[in-house]
Amino acid sequence: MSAQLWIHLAEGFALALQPENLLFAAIGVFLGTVVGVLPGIGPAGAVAMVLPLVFKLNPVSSIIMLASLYSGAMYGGSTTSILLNVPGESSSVVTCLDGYQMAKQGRAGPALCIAAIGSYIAGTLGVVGLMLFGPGLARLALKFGPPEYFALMLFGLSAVSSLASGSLIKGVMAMILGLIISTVGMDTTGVLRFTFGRADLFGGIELLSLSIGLFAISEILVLIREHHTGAAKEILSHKLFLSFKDFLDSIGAILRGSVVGFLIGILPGAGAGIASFISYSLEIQISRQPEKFGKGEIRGVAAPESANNAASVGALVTMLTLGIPGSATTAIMLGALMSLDVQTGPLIFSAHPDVVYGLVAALYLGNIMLVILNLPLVGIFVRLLRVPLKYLITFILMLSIIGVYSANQNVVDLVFMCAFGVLGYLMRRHGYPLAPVILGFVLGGRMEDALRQSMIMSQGNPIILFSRPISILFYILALFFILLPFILRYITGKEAEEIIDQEG
Amino acid sequence: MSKQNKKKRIDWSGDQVSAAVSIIFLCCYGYMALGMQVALEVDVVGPGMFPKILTVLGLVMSFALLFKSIRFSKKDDEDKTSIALKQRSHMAVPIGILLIYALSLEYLGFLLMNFLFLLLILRYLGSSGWLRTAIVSIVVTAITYGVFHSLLGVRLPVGTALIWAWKTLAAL
Repeated sequence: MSAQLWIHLAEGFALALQPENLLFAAIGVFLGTVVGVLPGIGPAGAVAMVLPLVFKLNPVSSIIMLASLYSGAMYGGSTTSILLNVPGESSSVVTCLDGYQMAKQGRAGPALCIAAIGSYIAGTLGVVGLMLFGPGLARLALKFGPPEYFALMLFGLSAVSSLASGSLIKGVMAMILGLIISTVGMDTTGVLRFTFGRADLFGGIELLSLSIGLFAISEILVLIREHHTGAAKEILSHKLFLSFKDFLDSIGAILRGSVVGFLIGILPGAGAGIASFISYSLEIQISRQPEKFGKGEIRGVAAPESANNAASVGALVTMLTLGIPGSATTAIMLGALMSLDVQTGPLIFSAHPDVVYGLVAALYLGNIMLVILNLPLVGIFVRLLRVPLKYLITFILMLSIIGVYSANQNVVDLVFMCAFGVLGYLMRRHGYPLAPVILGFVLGGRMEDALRQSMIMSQGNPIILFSRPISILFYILALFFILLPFILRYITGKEAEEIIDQEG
Repeated sequence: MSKQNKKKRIDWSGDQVSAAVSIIFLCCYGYMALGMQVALEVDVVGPGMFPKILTVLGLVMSFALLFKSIRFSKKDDEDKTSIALKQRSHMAVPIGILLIYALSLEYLGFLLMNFLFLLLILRYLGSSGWLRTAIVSIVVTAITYGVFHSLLGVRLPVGTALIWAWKTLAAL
């Protein structure tokens, strides 16, 4: 590391540690967490909301506030996922799988704690990555053409083998349903597909209608059934804090999630949702007890939460060094920077060191504030679960309605939310996993675009999809991930047979 | 014997029903994909290609599930085939209330609809006393409106029917 970098970094910290900038970072983290907790508004909405205020600040203060807000919102989304099974955005859908199960077992506190600690560690590692490898990795990300994106998306879809806890056929069917839902609306060439002439459907199905319908509304229907049949279980005791063993169990998942999240975050358009799915899948594949996932495994919360925060820092790398916004949030941030006369691009590190290193320092301080502000809130959030079931159900329903409506101010989204709620309820009853639907939906649009662009590049020759080294690597990894459960089952089956033989 | 056959035909397992529903759905989806026209000359794939691939994959999986469920049918599955009438009402009432809320929201506005929604759903879930529940509903609606509309700037509908009624009354 050159001495110059340390000098710039010290200057960055000196700037970020100025009382007014610290205050803006604290306000940003707090507002971000509050907005992130409420479904529907999301990080992009949160950043857009404070833009008028940001234009009145100097460039360093404004980027500090935006970055802190972004980190806070990314973390805040996990709270409702864990406590209420209401995912606010695609990146917190995976957190529902084990987080909500932990809450049901009275371990909401450790789940929220590990989400905060994982976000902190991932954010910090992401900041180090941004500082050390940012420009180099961003240039590498530019080598990702449509065939590589297609392979990456296919690799992402291979996560279905780990998300399908019961039957792989049902898991794949659920994933295909998600892919089918992603084809509704106007495609990239302007053709309207499966819209039945309704203008409300031209933009496609809203992610929040699908995720809140499938997860929250179907869960409400189950809770109402249990409430009426008297089968609902009251969670009497709640563990508030994380044990050292929980932390040790999770640290590997946090580190792996951070690396995976950061690398995927750098790829323009890949996003935090995909990062969280892939990191969760990776944890299951390498776990010695994969059957524990989906039933309240703490690593199932630690990995995706770390990945989505690291991905948000990764997305900043591409935005700062290449001027390419990887998500709606970074696009808004890019707009804010441009309006403040900060030109993003490869020269930003030398042209605006105050902004870049101020941002690095702000992100680091923002992460510390995230933990300081949020750990004491865990107890308050956990108390929410002690509210009588009838009020909790009503609260979740109201939050879901406002969350889905506020995304587009469209009642059709609410109708879809109800429909997906019933669908989710029926799918649960018949043993279909719900997460692959979201996986397919999140990856579907980008996968189709990558396929189409690849075909245009090769004038219809599909060989292009299999002729690039990065693509081949992803196909091999995808195949490995899909086959691994079968290989492991074969090996463990043989071991079991041998034990039975020996005992027999 | 004929009675047994008749019973066998009716008692489809949950997997068989879901596979059959998927096959019908995918046939309709695939048929619609067949009729899609290419908009740009450069687009060698066309808008229908991806849906067609999904249709084929989905049909393969659905038939695999159907085959598996027939070959290895379990008696336990039969219990899940139909949802009991009582359970259906548990699902229908909240979904019905939610749908009415959704469809009336823009006409009657957030304040009125949210109040009615809370009142009905809380009563349905066993909240005691109309007056007490109404007070809780009013307070919660007011707080929610304050937080989302006034503080966070989320646009919540005022209600076109209410605006029309107000204007009509004002004109009188």
